[in-house]
Amino acid sequence: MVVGIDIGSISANAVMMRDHEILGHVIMPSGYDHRETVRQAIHTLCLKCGAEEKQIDRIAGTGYGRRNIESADLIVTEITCHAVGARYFYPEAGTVIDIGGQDSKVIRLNGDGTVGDFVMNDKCSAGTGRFLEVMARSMEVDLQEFAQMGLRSKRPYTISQTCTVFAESEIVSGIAKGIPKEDLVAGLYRSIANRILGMLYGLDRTTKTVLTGGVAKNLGIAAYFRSQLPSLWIPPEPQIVGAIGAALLAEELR
Amino acid sequence: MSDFVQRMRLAGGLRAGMRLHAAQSLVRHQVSMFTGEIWKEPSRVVWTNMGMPPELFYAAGYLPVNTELTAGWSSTLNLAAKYLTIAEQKGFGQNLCSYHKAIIGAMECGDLPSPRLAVMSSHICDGGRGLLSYFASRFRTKTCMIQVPYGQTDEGNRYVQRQLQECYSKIARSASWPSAVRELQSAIQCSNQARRWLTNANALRKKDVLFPGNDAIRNLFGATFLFGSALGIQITREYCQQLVELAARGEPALLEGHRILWIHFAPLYAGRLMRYFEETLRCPIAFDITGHPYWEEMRRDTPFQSLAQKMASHFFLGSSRGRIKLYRHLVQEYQIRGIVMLMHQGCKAIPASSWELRELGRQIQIPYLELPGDCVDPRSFGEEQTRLRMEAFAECLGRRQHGSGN
Repeated sequence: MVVGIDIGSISANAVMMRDHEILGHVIMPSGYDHRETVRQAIHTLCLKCGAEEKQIDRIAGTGYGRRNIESADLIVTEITCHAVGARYFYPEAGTVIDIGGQDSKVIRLNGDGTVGDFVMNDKCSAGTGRFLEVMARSMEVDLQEFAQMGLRSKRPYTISQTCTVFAESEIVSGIAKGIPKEDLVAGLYRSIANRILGMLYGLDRTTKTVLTGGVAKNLGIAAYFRSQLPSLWIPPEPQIVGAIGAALLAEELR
Repeated sequence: MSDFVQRMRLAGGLRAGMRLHAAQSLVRHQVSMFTGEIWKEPSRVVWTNMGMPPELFYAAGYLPVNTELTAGWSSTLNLAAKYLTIAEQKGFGQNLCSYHKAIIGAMECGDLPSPRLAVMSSHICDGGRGLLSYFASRFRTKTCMIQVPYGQTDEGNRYVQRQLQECYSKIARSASWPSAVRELQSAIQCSNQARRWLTNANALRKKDVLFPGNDAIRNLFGATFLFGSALGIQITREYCQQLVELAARGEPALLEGHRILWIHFAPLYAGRLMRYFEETLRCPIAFDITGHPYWEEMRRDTPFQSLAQKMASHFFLGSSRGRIKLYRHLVQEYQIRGIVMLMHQGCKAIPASSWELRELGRQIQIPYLELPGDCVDPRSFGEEQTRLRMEAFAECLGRRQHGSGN
């Protein structure tokens, strides 16, 4: 039995697997104390899966907090883990878009599933989960509602700024002009997605793409990506793909 | 005493710890130049850029001071942020090249003396022209710009040749130096000898990684600014002889791992991270583009023509097709397993061909890593983000090797 743990900037995701089969997963806030988060995640995972900690053969850690996973037998970057995790669900996947809390990545996969190339946006919060959080807060919309509100838009508002701070002031201007909220939200979906699509097109626009990370659960953004990428797959729980990749790599250690 | 001079002296004291004897000699020379000659003998100094052939200056009795080298040192000495801020406060935009801005800032605050003479070429990067104009208007510097055409043609070569001839006679006259062709021929002879030593040293790097390649990017690159002088021969000879000794010991290579070709310079303020990449992640830099002697051996009987050809043959001039061909050649010659390019943020020319490097990587099935950053400016450097990219790249190389059963 193996465990993969992905400690991101917003959430900590852990998966327990045995022989390539997912036994259970947990998603919890990363919190301030990553070591404590890891202990809690493993404890909760064991409770959910009816296992005991001593039954865990190996643990692999990934994500920005990966070095804080003291019990890890293996530390791997989230880039490799998302590649492995995406191929677990979709063996034909050619590219992976991962939109996390503090960065976004596009990963091109080789035929054998190894990482061929990758690009990242981590210099600013545009194109990340944090961007959406800030925008939802400035519009006083709950994140759940935010994820669907834009789907009702008939005329998405054009957000020209990519910087989170300036985009927020553009939204405030839109509110002052009386632009309907759903149009503003739909404009934000496009803003974030177009930024990432630019990264994708720079790498590859011909292959089948998997969308992973917490932002993939935002229905509005997922819908916009689907409209632009007909061959897009979204795993059943996109937030745990990195942790699954880590768990699979822990299995490889055998 | 200026901050630059003070820290340069301290850096000079650290040179004994350098692995390469040639780097020690080179730093000794640079410390002497930056703490002594440029202050004591300003009329002997010519400020120049990396596109210019230094042979011209040695022949005319000058000490060439390279702006890229100087800016690089400002970064290594942890002074670049100060100089860049000063330059930006004067109105130089944040998206301009940090190499040029660092020089402006250092001169503005008096940490470097203002130049009396500056000769720059128009090619490789577009900042040289701007810097030259700035020197002329701000410090009344005597300036000379050598215009280098984009493509390599006979007509273009003659055009550059004429400018070099004119420049040489002017600067030699200004230094009361005999502008005889004999001096230039002698400088060319020195340059050719140094080039041979460098080529021989490079040949020794094709098999084993005999030292961490970042040492070459950081320090040895400066050796090319000595081509045309006796010191240039001495340093390249030291370099080659040490590599011969290292190779002859028959010990396993100093660094085993995934051999890397590095394009552009490295972040000069991030030595620790570069060591991490080479030593911990086992991605030794087998070769870097700055160490490639791109020009043919020069002819003594046609010195200006040879110098013009040297200038025009720089791999960062002209169509990117030539560069890609060169990279492909270097990948084969140095048994490269991965290519890394630092996307220097102020540079408007070199990073533009990144997509072609990516294409090349795909064609020859070699992973390519594009590292955003700045060679000189540490202010927006994200160490953790760079480390993540390096680690992911090393994993990618490792899994490929594992998959291929090697």
